[in-house]
Amino acid sequence: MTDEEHFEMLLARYRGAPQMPDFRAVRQERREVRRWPYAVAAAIVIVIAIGVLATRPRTLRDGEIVQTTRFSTRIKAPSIGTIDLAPHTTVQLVQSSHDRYLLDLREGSIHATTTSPPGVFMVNTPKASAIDLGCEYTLSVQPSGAGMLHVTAGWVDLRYGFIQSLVPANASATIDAEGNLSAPVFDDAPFRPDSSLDTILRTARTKDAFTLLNLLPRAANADQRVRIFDRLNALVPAPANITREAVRDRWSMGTADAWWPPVLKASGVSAIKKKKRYSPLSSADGP
Amino acid sequence: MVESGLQTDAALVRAAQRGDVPAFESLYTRYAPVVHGVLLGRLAASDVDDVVQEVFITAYQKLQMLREPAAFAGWITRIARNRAEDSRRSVLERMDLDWKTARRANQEDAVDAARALAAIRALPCSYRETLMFRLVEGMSADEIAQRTGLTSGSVRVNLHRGMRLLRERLGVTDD
Repeated sequence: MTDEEHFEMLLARYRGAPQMPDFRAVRQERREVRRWPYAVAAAIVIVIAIGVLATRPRTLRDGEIVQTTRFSTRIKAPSIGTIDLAPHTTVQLVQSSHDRYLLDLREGSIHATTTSPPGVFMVNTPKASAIDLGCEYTLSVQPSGAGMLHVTAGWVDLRYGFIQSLVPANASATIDAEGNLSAPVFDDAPFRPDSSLDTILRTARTKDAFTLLNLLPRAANADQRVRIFDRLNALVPAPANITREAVRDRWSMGTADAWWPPVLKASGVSAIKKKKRYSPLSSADGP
Repeated sequence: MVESGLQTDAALVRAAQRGDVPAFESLYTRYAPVVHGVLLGRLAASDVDDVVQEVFITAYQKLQMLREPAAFAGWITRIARNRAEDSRRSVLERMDLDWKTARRANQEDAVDAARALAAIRALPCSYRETLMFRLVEGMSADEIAQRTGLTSGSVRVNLHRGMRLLRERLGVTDD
């Protein structure tokens, strides 16, 4: 007999012979079905599907209205560039032709990156119009007409009637519910577009001479014009043909034209490269 | 996966999950020696039969949670080990009782059996369970391989090394 056989015989006394339980008297527990992971997965799929459909670039026909809800969407306009609509934005394509792509922005926000010649892409808001001069910008408006334009690259010509605000890159201008346009204010300026005149004059830097020159035609009276002149003159001396008296007593839209080149230089702003499509409203556009 | 006659473990598990009690009884017949061997390596002999029943009742209650029917062997073994672990606190006292019972029996074989059992319990786990299956439950190496998922080669190695250690610890010399 081998050791193995010996041990097997010896230990056989411990061999188990437990009585089989009566399994019929035992209830099986039901498997807990976790439904929430499936519900979450389904919800994610639905949200993604809605998002994909909602954000799919669209080509608009004249007169067509687009209203975004919870998702952004992109308008395809190959001759213009890309126009992204933020959530909760309503626009209507008013006109699309080879020399004009006109959108009516009623509410919400758009971000445009254009490749079209200056003056072709134009956006009307309830109180103002933004004319693209070859650039990238974001324009937001409320149903009241109040809004803001922020330019990332190039220039945008913002207008309301005969009021104009030429906004360069890295600057913003506001539109109030009455249609009044603020002067352009650089992103890093020590004041905001809606700051008081006192604050602006007190804190303006040399770079902000651009803002001050835009404030001159917005001054309410001769006294304000003189105060603006004095501060601007301190930052960027006026050309010889622009005098304090002329600004105070004989102000017209062309009075300060000669001041634009040195102000642009001091503000570090490159002048608009005019192309054949763009036709400024008046000589007051300076740059 | 173990086959017995025409029915694999997986087929029996699936049938049992549908409420087929005889199918689970077949699994009991097939795996009771395995569970018994696992428990005997960890619990007092006097407790093992009861715990085997508890393990299978637990397995039957939880059978719906077994998502991979072919993994029944590993699953039931794991339940047995966990159940033995739960009882670990009282194990030493009960094991001592195995010795006293054997001595009172005043039979040389009983004492030798208790010594051998204690020596096997003291072996590393892989040798311990393999020797329990082979020497106590009387399973062949192939049966052990089938019911534990080990390869036949591993079982034979465990048996060979386990037997050598057992001989050493019991002072058995080759004659």
